[in-house]
Amino acid sequence: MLKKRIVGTLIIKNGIVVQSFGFNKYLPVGKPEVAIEYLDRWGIDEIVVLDIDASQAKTSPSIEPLKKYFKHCHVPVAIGGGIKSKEDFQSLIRNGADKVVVNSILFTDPETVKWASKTYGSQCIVGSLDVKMVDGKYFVKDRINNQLFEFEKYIKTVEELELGELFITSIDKDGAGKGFDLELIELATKTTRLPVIISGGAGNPSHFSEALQYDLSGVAAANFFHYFEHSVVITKTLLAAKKHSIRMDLRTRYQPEQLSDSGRVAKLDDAALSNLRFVKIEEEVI
Amino acid sequence: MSDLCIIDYGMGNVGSVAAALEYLDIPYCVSNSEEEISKSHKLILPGVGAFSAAMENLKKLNLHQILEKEVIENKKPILGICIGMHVFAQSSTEGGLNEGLGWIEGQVTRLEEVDGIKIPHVGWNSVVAQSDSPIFNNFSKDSEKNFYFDHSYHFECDHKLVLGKTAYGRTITSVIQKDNILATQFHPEKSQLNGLRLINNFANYFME
Repeated sequence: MLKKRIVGTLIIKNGIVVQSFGFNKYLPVGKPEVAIEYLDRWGIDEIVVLDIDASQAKTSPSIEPLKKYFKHCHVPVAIGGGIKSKEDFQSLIRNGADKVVVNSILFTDPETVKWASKTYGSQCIVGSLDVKMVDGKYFVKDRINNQLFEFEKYIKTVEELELGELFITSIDKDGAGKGFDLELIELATKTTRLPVIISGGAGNPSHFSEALQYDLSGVAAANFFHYFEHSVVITKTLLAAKKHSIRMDLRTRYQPEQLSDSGRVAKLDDAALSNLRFVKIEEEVI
Repeated sequence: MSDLCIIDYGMGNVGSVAAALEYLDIPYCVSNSEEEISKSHKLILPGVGAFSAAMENLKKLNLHQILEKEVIENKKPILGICIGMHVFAQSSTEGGLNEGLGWIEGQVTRLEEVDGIKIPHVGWNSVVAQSDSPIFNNFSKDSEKNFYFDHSYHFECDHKLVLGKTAYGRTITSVIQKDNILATQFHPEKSQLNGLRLINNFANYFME
């Protein structure tokens, strides 16, 4: 059975990973290659790396750091930010990107996106849409020209570009940690036949569970996975316990009863602590 | 001399396969030269992209003849991944009918849109082993074997050659073995621990 993907997003600014709050405030986290290695070891299903400098500064995506990204990573990686030309697609894919995430170019040069999906296969091209609610209606935002497009109409337009999947981010929920935009998820999964990954708003594992009630292919989070050790494993353990279809062949295991609903390791009472015995488990050498 | 040669024919993700072999400490080379290929013990044919482009590139580099000699005459073990699996077939309907290398009797056809499944088939799905092949060494018997898939076409062949099956709409063939030829529909180089296990099994136990 096909699993629901738990996707880790890394926002890159000035070459380092940052946490983003509503697309306008940022906090530094650390080196991208370290974050990638951790997400991989914690059992993430896919990683999306978005370079927001490249998208804002009108430069092409930087290729040089990619080698470092892939060295300690054994899951698929999608790269986005600043894609403007056929050459950008070529160099990203040649240098190891499994998928390319496109956003602004959907508005500025849809023909090139179409070319890329013909050349590299639609499975390789992810359309990223930033969505905002205005007066009770959803709109897709074109950041470069600061324009809004009606969500449902816009989905029909991008579907013609033969994209492989849609990565939909709620601008209103981004960085708030108060849960995903469920109304938006419902609308998106009903409107398009493409696989949908939702992003923006994860604050605890139950938010993932709420989102997965809908016909999503994956749920993405950025800030949330940076907050605590083993965040991915713990989230997946709690989701699997709620009978969601999740990939659980991971390096580390928890029992669901060891965890609190907020996604932390539950505090044990004193009697349990005094009886605690540590058992050494040898790491599997492949 | 390298144990393993990753065939570089301009299709897909050579770097990820190399990263997996580095992690596993298996000596390897990346090459498309006859000399390097004939010196290696085992071969890996990776691949992402379209069938016709893959065949074209193989022919352009004369790899169809070099590989035919090594794999069919000298019986050198080879692992084909995704498009690298598809080119082993007699033909594919991807982008019109195209001829493959014809090493395994079978056709590559588009996935059928049944039961509301989405195409391409992207994501992690479980493989059900059909035999006790050494390829599945060190996998736990009772937990699922999940691997990363990303494809719209699949390989149809004699069920006797099928080592692994996966449910997606209709059942699809996810692992094939014919003598010294092994092929996977999924990407072991992108399938974390399970993928590393499988690549390690290919390098150390397959046909040994």
